Amino acid sequence: MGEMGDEKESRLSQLATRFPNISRSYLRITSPDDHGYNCVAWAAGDTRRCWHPSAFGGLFWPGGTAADDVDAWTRAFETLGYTPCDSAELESGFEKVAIYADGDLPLHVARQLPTGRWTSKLGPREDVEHELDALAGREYGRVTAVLRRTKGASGE
Amino acid sequence: MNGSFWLDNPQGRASTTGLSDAASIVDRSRRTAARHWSETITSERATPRGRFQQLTRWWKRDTEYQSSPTRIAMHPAYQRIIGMGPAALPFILKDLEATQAPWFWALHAITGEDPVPAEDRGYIDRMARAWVRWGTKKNLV
Repeated sequence: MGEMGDEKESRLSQLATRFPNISRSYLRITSPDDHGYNCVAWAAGDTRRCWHPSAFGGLFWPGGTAADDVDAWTRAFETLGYTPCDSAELESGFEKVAIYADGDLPLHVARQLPTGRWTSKLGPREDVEHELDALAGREYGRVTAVLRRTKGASGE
Repeated sequence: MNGSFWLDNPQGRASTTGLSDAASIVDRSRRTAARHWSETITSERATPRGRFQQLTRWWKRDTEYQSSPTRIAMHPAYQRIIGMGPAALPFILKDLEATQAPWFWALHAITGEDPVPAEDRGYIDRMARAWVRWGTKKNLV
């Protein structure tokens, strides 16, 4: 228990150097590293593939390659039943995703959990449970779009 | 007393017995340079493999948590690896096979090819295998 705890503490310290808001926000590591899926795939409920619209990256994107901008990421989630909304607050009967961006370049996406907290895949590293603000900053930019869909709309 | 640490250093004096002070300085400088060459990144920069390894370490350290393939590929070290051109391909393919790091952008940029079948897009292990197969056919692996 001690060793595992130390390891987690060490990982959290490393994360804090990249995501300084962690020091004043909630974040918990919830999975081991896995480069088989990325943040977009995780938000979309796919843990087998990496998603990205760029033709150069050669990854999966619903509807085929597209520009790598917030509009394209929004459209991808619209194909999954999401529509843009104004609030990142927990709303009964809805599930939400939040797109982080630097200007118009999308850098990350998180999915809301039933508790109101959020879940994210950090690049090729771990999944984490966090508050929305915990990941804002130099690495991922800031939340620029929030989308929601009726719970169960994915058909899962 | 001449005030020089090097010349007053008993260890240094012992290793250059029989040489004049000036010759000792030259000899020690030569040995320091040789050690610097063999033990530091200076030698790494001198070969394509060394340059690739140094740039790859820099790139992976900086993009460890990046989610955006665009940001990952725009990192200056990644761009410099692309700038190495076909000379980088054997090193990229070897690292791809070992680590499945996101080299697809660089491979596509350098070769202009994409051997990954459409149905395998996004499956990192399948994509890596497709590129390694491509490299094997081209005698790059």
